Amino acid sequence: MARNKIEIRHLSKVYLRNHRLTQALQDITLNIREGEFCAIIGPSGCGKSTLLRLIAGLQQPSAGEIVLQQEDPNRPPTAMVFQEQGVLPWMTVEENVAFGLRMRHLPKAEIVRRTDGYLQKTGLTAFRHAYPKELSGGMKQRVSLARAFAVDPEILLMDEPFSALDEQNKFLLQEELLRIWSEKKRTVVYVTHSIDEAILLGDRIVLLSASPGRLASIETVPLPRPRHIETIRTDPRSADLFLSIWQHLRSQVQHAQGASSASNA
Amino acid sequence: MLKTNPLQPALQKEAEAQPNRQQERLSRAEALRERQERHLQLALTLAAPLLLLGIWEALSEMGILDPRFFPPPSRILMALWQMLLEGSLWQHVRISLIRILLGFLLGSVPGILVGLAIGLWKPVRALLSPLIAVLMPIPTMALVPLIMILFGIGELSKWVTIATSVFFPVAINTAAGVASIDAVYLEVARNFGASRLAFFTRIALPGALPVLFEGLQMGEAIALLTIVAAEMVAANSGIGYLIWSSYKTFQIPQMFVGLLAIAILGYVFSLLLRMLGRQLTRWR
Ligand SMILES: Nc1ncnc2c1ncn2[C@@H]1O[C@H](COP(=O)(O)OP(=O)(O)O)[C@@H](O)[C@H]1O
Ligand SMILES: [Mg+2]
Repeated sequence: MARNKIEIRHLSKVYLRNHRLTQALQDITLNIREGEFCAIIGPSGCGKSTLLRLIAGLQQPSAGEIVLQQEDPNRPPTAMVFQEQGVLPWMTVEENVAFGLRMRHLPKAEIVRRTDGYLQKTGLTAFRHAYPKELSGGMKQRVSLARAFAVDPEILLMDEPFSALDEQNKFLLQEELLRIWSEKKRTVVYVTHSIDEAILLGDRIVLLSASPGRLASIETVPLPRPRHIETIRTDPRSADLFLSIWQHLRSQVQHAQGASSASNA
Repeated sequence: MLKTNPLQPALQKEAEAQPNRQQERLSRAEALRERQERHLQLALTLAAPLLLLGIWEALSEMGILDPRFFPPPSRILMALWQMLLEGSLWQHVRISLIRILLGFLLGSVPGILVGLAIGLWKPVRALLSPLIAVLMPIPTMALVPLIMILFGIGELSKWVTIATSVFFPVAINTAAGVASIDAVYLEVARNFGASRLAFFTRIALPGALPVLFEGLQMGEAIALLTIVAAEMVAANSGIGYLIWSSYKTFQIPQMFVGLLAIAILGYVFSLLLRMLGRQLTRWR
């Protein structure tokens, strides 16, 4: 069995804003294995983005710790695909994809090689000199994907990357993601609020409870790879998994609503 | 009807070519309409000032406007021609131009750097914001005596005067521009390992550019204001001096030439700045 890549121990995060405390995450303990595609799902506001930011080191935990097992000091430990608008508007598609490589001061030829490669893989070659304002939402997220993959991070962090897309584009990008990911199986932490998406992409699905986010349960997806939308959709095992996750989430959301309406009363 | 026509193949070809030709005709008509509209607008744009000048000329010739204070435009044009021939106009314009350009650079470059620093780093903001808030409301002209004490009565003090007036709007707008950058872009930069310098040059500067350019436009307008005022009170050359000395020696046509010169200078300057700004923010 693969060893642990990310070890999260008793992690809590509290935000203090305008003298008001928000507990975003509470006592999360979780190990994510090397090469694992780990989907994280939970109702909105339960701290999913916060968890990714903590793993990326963009924020510091209030309590507990996160340990990343870094193997190769020449590779960045993490790269994030942001929820929306993560593409820098003042850079062309090409400059965006090359951004991480430039920041790491790679040799020029290597930057060109990798940028060209990922532009091609994501079907962006024809748009390389375009600015993001000229692109559709799906194209922008392709840029975001290419930029993250290009730096060859040990861990890929994705924060609901396709949630703002229409369904057809979402399917296309999910397949593209699976294809690129399968070339070289990196550890992925993938946040989503879509059960279907979690089942299609994940090896395991981590369920978080409504605010404050606590670890509710972990499901293993019993479906073989390579996966395709058509086969996953018709597989009875995915239907069972869908139901069990949905029941869980429903009780969470209802619980949260009950709590808030009780406190409003 | 066409069945037996020997020309049928040709006609058919014609019919196939029809949509293309029709499109061409339509686009030509559309282009013509657009051109006509443009010409009409240009005519209207030119009509207003020409009409005004015509009325002025007539009123002044008829003595309804006092020609001593409002000489007819033809006299002003003659004065302009004469000053061009003598080379005196160019001398005044050149010296003002140098003062404005140098002063503008001396004020806007530090303004941009300080603005970026204020926008990016909280300690710098805490250190400098109150200082700027207190200094900004002082009209630069009120500082002219102090500037002359510090920098003498030569050209340097003119540059410093303009630089001072340009610095504040540029610094404040640059800081506001940095503040307007979406937080997610800062996270992107950190996540992909941007160095401090890269943060400055690849995120803060381009992100702030649209608002920054509004500051440069304001700075340009204020620079024009300041240079004329400064040349009126503390110089013996330049457009401001030309206007003031012409007035005092009652050479009113020359005074109007000075006004014309500053108007054209300001217009060209702001046009160039706008073009540069548009070029640099094509991504918007
Ligand atoms: N920078 C912040 N300052 C204060 N509160 C925050 C901040 N970021 C997130 N929160 C709060 O923390 C909770 C979790 O947010 P987030 O991690 O964005 O949830 P999710 O991504 O699951 O929707 C929310 O209640 C949110 O309002
Ligand atoms: Mg989120």
